[in-house]
This record gives sequence, structure tokens and C-alpha cells, in this order.
Amino acid sequence: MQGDDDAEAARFLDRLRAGDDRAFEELVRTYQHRVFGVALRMLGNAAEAEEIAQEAFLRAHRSLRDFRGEAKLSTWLYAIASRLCLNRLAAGERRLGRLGEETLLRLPHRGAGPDAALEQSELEAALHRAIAELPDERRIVVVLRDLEGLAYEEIAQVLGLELGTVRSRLHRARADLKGKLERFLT
Amino acid sequence: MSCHDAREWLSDLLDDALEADARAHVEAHLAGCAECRRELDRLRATVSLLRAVERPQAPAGFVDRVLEAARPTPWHRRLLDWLAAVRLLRFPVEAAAVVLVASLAVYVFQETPALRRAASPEIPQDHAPDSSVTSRARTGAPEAGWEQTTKSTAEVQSKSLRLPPPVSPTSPPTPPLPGSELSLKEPMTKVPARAVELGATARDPALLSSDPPPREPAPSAPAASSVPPGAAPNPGAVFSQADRSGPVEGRLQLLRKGNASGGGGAAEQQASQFPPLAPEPPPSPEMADRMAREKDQERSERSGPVRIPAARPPAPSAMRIVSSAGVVGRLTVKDRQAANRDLAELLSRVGGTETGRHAQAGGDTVGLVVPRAAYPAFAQGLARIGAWLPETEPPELPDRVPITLRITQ
Repeated sequence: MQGDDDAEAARFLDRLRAGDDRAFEELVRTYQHRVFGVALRMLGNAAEAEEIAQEAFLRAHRSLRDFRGEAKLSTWLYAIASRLCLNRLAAGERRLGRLGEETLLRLPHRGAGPDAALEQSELEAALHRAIAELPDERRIVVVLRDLEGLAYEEIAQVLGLELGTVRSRLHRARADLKGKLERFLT
Repeated sequence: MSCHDAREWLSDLLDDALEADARAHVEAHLAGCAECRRELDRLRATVSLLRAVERPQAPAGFVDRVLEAARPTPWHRRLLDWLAAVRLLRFPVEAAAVVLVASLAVYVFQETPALRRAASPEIPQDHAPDSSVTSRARTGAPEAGWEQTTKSTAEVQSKSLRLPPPVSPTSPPTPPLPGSELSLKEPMTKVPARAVELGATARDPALLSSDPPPREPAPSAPAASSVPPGAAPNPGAVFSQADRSGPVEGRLQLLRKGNASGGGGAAEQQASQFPPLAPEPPPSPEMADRMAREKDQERSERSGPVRIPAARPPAPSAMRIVSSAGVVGRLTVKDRQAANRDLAELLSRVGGTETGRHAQAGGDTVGLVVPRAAYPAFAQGLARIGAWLPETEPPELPDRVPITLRITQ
């Protein structure tokens, strides 16, 4: 099975590199939520997140020919998106406010009834605020690990960091979050 | 292992990312430390909360917007984007100036037969007198200063007047300008290529702002003036160089140089190859607008003694130039298309040929050659087609009479 997957991924990559528009559309469709999700978690604002996510795909489109396939496509896309987000945050040219609680509160929640929904929204608000308050370089690690589910090695690749750095940043981030979410931990 | 050390590893323990040794140590500590076990539970709960967070969905239409943006943009937008990226354009005024200069370049080129001729291959100058005569007749020399030509200029002119009038029917009057279009487009297509290169450094977007590409060398004095007067028209060389600095500026420089140096025959001959801009009488509103802008440009350039020839009714001097070369006249007709058909018929009857044609909204300017013997019959035929008003009719006609005909409605 693994071999089949690999072969299919290789064929898909060939189509992408050959400039196949349909393949590119498939790529955007497949990864849109992941790329947008990282951008929204990092920037806290839907409009800015969409701008960055779009830019990430455009850059991918322009440099697909240079993509050699040593990393997974998803890793490569995460890398582009993460760098764009971190650069945007570092540039200090942010037009829009950080966090954007209104944006994050409007995210879908899982609760069943109204009470559950209320409780859920309170928890989610606290959760999103806690994530948003993390320092950027820790936030990106915890977003990639616990929200996007990447392995340590992938995160190291995406961010160009040593494995040990990834571990320690993740540990600090989680410890921070634990402190802020204390009242929800039963 | 102390509690402090053990807690450093808890995160890794949760992710099952510990080496066997380290894991054994941490687990041994946890077995004997209730506080650290509670700590591990809280950390695990935190991670579960995080992992339960739903991934936000990209907004509706996101894919379409990305695909739309990924589509190749037209060159003019890429050019503007590039100019904006290298911060050449900081104000809308500058953007407007770029567009203005570009359209002027195209306009001047299209309206200047000499430039077009220079850009078209294989028409030796000796064989293309008619279109230049035509354009001069049409636009005329505007100023008295234009008449006060130095001796050498006069020579140049008389020389051009002695050019053998017949034009081989096979030589195209003013063929389309493939070379010129290329030379216009080339710098523009190169620009986006660089922009794409910039974009390719996707890994570090900061490069975009921190490392702008070197600017093109600033446009300097037109190289066209350095073209030797006798040089055969070279499609690329003459036009693309003039194009760099803008044909208008190029011409202004040429004219200035020609006047200032007085006896500089070479420069003047060069200048004489660039007839004044030739707006046709009733221009379309769009044309009129462009002409107005062009005049503004000229006005701002007029600092020296040179008056730039602009659109004016034919002056006597221009008529003189044309007169010794052939017949110039105006044919006023009711229906231009019908008139052109009749004219073609008349021409074939008298054994004449059409050597050039410049069609515009206001009227056609047609260059013809008719055998001297057939000229009276031709003139009669013209009078039947419409109101024929010969403006210049030399007393002595050459064997083959060149005729410049303005057909207006």
C-alpha cells in the first residue's frame, strides 16, 4: 500500500511540476484548510489569514518546478505558510489587530445543546486566547504539533530547526497553555 | 531524577518521543512521585483540549480566488506590479506618466512614417520618396524658421526632390512593423521574468523587499542621433534605440541638434527624416486627447530656440517641396469607399499605380504615380469621381508624375 501511495504521490508531483492546472487545483483543494488554519492560528484574523494562505499557494505555484520532493508536499506547503506568517508577524506591519477574538469565537464548535455550546464557547475562547498569547515561535510549534498533527521531524523540517529546539519549544508552549487553562483541567 | 528534570521530559513522554533510557528514568520517577503524576495528567488534558480544537475551514471561494490569482497576468499589469515592487511608482501620477509615455511612444511611432520606414526592413530610402512627400505635404512645415534652411539642408532637400519618383509597385508602401513591435515588447516581457525570479525565492519572502533588482539604466540621450545619415534603415537599431528614450524625446533632441548646429548637414538630414507629427484633420476624441497631451509634452520641452513643428495647415514651403516633385491635390467625394473603387479603376485605365496610402478617420492620403501622357485623362477622371482641387501642379511634369491625393468626404 505504501508503495502505491508513493507512486501516486510521485505521479501527482510530476503533473504539478509539468504545470498541470488541474493538479494545482487539486493541491489547493486538498490543502486549503490546513494552510488557512495555520495562518488563522498564527495571525488571528480571517482576512489576513486568507491573504497569507493565498500568497502561500501562489508561491508554491511559482516554485513548483524547484520542488524536488525530498519533503512531503504538505511539509513544503506548511513551510511556505509558516514562514510567511512568521515574517508577517516579525515585520510589525500588521494592519489588523492581533487575536481577533470575534473571528475565533465564530469558529464552529462541537457542543450538542445550547448549554454545552455555551460552555464549549467559553472553553474555546479561553483556548484560543491562550494560544494567541503564546510567543510566535512557540505558537507555531504547538499549532503544527497539536492542531495540525505533524511529527517532530516534520516540524523541524518545516521551521528549519534542530529537533531539540522543537522539543523544548513545544514543552514550553504546552506548559504555558496548561497554566492558562488550569480551570478547565479536571 | 529530580521532579524538575522529570517535568522537562513530560511533554516528550506524552508524544512517545523519548529514547528507551530516558523513558525508563522518567517512568521510575513518576512511579514514586504523585505530584509529577498529577502534573502529567494536567499536561495530557491540556494536549487533549488542543487536539480537540477543530481546524478552521478556509472561506468559501478560496480555491477559486487562488486559481484566479495564479493565472498569468497580462504584461502591462506585471509591469506595473514590478514598478511598484521596486518602488519606482510611489504616486498615481507616476503610474499615469508611465502609461502616458508608453502610449505616446506607440502613437508617435504609428504616426511617423519615417520611423515606420526605419523600422521596416528592405525599403531602400531612394525608393520610398512618396510617403515622405506625402506626409510633408499633409502636415506642412510649420514655421518661418523651417524655411530658413541652411545651404546644406537645402541640398539635402533638393537631393531628396531629385529622387526618382517611380516606386516599384511591388514594394509595400508602409508595411506592418513586426520588428518594431518586438522591440517595444521586449523590455516589457523581460521585466516580469525578473519578477518571477523574485517570486521564486519563495522560501524567504523578505528577499522581496530587501533585495530589489537593479534598475534598468536610466534612459539617456537618444542613440538615434548617432545613426549615420546614410545608414540603411535597420529595423531594430534605429527604432529600438529611439524607443528607449521615447521617440518624442528622440526627435526633439534630433531637431534641436539640427537647428543648433546650423550647417550640420548630417544632423539635419536625419531630422528631415522625421516629419512633424501629422494629426489628421478631424481626429477622433481619443486622438484629440492624445494630441493635446502630446502638445503639453512638447510645450514643456520647448526651452531652446527650437520650435517644434506641430499640427498646422500646410505652409507654402511645404508645398514648394512637394510641388517640384509632383502634383498635390484634394479630392472631395460623397462616398469614400466608392471613390476609392473608382480611383482604382481610373488608375488601371490610365496605367498608373498606387504607391502608398495612409488611411485615417478624416480622410485617405494616397500616393500615386501616373505616366505624364495620361495625366490629363487622369485629372479629368478625378473630376468625375469628386470635386478635384489641385493645390500644386508644376508646369513641367516628369515622365512619371507622382501625385499626392487627399481624399476627404
